[in-house]
Amino acid sequence: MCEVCAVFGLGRHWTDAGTLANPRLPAPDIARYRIERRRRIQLFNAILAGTGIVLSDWDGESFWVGRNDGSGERVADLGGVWPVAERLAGRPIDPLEVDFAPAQS
Amino acid sequence: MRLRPKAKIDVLSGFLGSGKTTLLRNHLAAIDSSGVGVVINEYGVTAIDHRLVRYGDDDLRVLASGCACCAVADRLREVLLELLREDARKDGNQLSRIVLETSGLADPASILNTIRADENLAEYLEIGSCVVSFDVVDGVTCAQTYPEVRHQLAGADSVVLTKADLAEHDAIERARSFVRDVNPLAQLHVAGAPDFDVAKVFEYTQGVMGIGPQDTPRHAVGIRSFCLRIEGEVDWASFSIWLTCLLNRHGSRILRFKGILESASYVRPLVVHGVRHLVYPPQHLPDTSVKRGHSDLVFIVDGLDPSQIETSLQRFLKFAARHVEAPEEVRDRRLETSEAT
Repeated sequence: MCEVCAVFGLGRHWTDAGTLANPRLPAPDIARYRIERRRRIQLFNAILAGTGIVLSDWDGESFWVGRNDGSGERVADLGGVWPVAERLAGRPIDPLEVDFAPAQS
Repeated sequence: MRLRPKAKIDVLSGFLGSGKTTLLRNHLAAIDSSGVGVVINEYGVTAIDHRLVRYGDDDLRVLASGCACCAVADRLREVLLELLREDARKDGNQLSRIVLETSGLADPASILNTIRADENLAEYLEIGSCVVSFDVVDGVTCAQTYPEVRHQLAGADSVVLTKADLAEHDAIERARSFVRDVNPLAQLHVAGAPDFDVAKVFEYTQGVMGIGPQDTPRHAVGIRSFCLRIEGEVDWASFSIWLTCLLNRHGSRILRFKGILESASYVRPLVVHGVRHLVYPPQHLPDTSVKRGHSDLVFIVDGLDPSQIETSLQRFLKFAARHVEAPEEVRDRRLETSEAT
């Protein structure tokens, strides 16, 4: 977020893959990137369902990986979510081992 | 606020005795080296290589007694900041490029990680090219014994085969084949060949080069390269989360990856690439690039099963499609914004 004008930016992490079609009129792109950020959090929470861990946005700049009891940890970017989530869940989350398919039923 | 344009940092790596310093010396002689800073890292307690490189003391720094990828990573950070600070004190911010010669045991990916992970350095430096020297006489033998060599090769944008004048044709071809197996994405050059232009080697990065399906044979050392093709558009949010998850668990065994992805969230294809845990900011291909209806992802992995990775991605994308709302279809806003302006 811009500290001067309080406008959210595109995000600086590689997962944001942010780019402005027109730097003079950034609002439409910024709005779209906010939606993408929300989608990513939604997906994380679908993966973490059943672990008691919830990911939430922290001021549009970082993330909060928290448990239902209120404990948790702030992480700077989505890459940092997994180590914390694994620690809080007490088990590894390995995409080569986890069969994501059954969870959708 | 950044007050100066970013300087590029090129990393020159290669195993002990593979000819890095000769390559560096030739490179500095071939270019207009004003505005170029040089950092030489040596594993030994006494630095020697810098004496072989004729360069002004002001713009040359030496890091001895350990690898910049691990033991002296903090000192590397300090040295780079010092170069930038000193340049800022001069008139006009002349420093436009830094060439870092690593120690023979260093892992260039870790060094790049150090630079990218540091907020100050990332603000003033951008990653340029990673060039690796590979000795055609002993390189293959070294690579089979020392994993450091394979990691160096896997992280390279360009590999320069050195000492070709000391080797038979068969040895050169064997080295060439070995490098191709470990890193099919890297450009290959033979030092001393008639078409060898060392300055151009350092200009090259893999940012927008084309890739396509390939399946190189399994290498004796356990390193494999393969390409995943995904038909249709990939949801970037889903893909990026899958990749963070994969790298979290297996990043140390994913030596290199690179892909051109087509996503509904972006008008143009995205180039994504990285070295182990390090992912570079995705590049949006220029306006002239059209979507082709599929995405290609090339991986170089050490000890991982390609079919497992492919299955994992497919399952994950299906899972994601069921659990998140569809991405907003992006319009080409350049037209509407140009009218608005």
